[in-house]
Amino acid sequence: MKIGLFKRILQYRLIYMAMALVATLSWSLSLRGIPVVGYWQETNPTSVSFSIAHFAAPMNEKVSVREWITELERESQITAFSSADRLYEKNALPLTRYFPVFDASSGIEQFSSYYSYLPSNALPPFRRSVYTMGLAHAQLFFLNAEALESGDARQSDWLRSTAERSGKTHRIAFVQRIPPLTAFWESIREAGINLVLTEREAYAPDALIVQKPDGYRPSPVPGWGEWEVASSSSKPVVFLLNGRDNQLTVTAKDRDGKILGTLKEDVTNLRLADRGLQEGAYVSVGSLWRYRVGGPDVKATVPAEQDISGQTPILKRFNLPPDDWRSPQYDDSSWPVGRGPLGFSDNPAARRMLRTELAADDSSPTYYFRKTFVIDDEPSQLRDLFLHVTYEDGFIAYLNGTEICRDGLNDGLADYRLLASPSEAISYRRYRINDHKEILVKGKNTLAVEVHRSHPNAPNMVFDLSLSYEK
Amino acid sequence: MTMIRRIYLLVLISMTVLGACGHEGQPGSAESTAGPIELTASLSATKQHVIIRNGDIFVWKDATFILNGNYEYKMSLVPRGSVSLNLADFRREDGTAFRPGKDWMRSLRIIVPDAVDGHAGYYEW
Repeated sequence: MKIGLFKRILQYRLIYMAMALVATLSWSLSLRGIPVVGYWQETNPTSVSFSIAHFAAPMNEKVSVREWITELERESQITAFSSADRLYEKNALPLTRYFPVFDASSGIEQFSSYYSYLPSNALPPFRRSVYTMGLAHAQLFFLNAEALESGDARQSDWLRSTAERSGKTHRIAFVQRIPPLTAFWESIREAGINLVLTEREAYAPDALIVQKPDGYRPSPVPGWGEWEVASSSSKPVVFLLNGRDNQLTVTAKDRDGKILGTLKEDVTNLRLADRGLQEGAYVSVGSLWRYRVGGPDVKATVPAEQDISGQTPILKRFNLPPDDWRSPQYDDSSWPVGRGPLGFSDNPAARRMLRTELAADDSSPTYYFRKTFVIDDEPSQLRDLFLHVTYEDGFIAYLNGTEICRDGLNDGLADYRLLASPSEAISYRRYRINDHKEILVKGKNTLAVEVHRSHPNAPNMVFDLSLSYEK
Repeated sequence: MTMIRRIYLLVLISMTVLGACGHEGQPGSAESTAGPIELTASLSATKQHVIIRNGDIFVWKDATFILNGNYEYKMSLVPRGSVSLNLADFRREDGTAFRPGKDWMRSLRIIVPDAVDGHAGYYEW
């Protein structure tokens, strides 16, 4: 009997091994979680990165930061943690990877004595309540809000000089609350700070933002936006800061791990400004676009200024009627709105990179996109103008009704029935469009883009675009 | 007339007739300058579409596409490159639409009244 059972086990050993393998894989996936969302991003294997978790809570809210840190350490590799001092339990020795923000919940002496691992030589009168830490390519500044509010200028001077010396790509300031002083923001600006975190909010310069979270709004400080997460949820939140090269992603999560919003910034512009150059984006990557399928019901005239055979270049501005979909006057209010990258794909990995999934419509190989934006600059002051376009398979871009760029399509006349040359998805290809600077106007401008597939049944289409400048 | 002479006469008549036919409209001849030119086109199809490639260096103006001899589709301008036309948009004179999946594509003719310098252009598959 026993021998028969043993033989049967041997007979089915391959099946048992396969089942064990499947069970092991399922178990490891359940631990890690299957990725279900994403966005279009290319990673650089030689990139520098850091990650910080900053805990925030309304004044009357209690939260066990130590316990939360333990949970986060299990889930992800976070280099450093921070919060207002009052949120950190003092029932044990502090973690040396924890960086408190002085909030006057204890005196400066008591604070400095408990967090004895913090540097004390930044500004001697303030002991350890004011300090700075370097973390990969980030410099973190921990400020004393109480002293700032008193009008003491020493912290501001120290911030400016230290930030300049550090030369780090990301400069992040932590302060319990924002002092109501213009001088504070002047020092923040002069220090090239790209993020300010308080006990309730995150502040970022508008010019650096590439993705705005829900709840992000203009702050009383010109040029800076404010993201108040803790107040809207009235619950503790954690800001997870991930810096990779020039990009900084700030994700707010609640105590249950639910994502409340994500802010992304690119500090390239700020660091160029340090070198006397200014760069910015009139239309950011991942912006909102109006869109619809191309078809005979959308009017597209043939501009008299265009050689339809494409043999001669476009030398004059197009003069389009207001009901032409490329015209700045066109009424696109009935078109739906979606955030880039927009498109569709039969490949699940490519689909996860889309922010707006469109319907694959076999009736037309073309999608139309429109975006209106306002600029305050004089176009004549711009040194360079760039488009960065993600597309598959071909596109034509129009600025204020005149064609400025195309790829993957023959020159000359284009029609909603026109097919592009087959191509892989192109990710943010850069086009210098300096010849078209004079089309840009101070005030309201309109971009219109048509994206063509290479086959009426092609299963993939993608589009996103940014318009940036250097001056 | 012997059998050999009859065959000889028949061959002669046939050569004359065929020769005359071949001469009419042949490209490069004096008469061909007044006749239509052949469009540089190619086509492929899916169940729902016909994909037509305009391989000429010029845009076809007022083109008519005739499917199976009686389903028509008109385009005022056909850009260079390939266009995708929905087969269901081809219609007979009485308005009946082509039914992709039920009707089969057997022939396609492209007519451009004024392709180059007043010469009509045509393509036939």
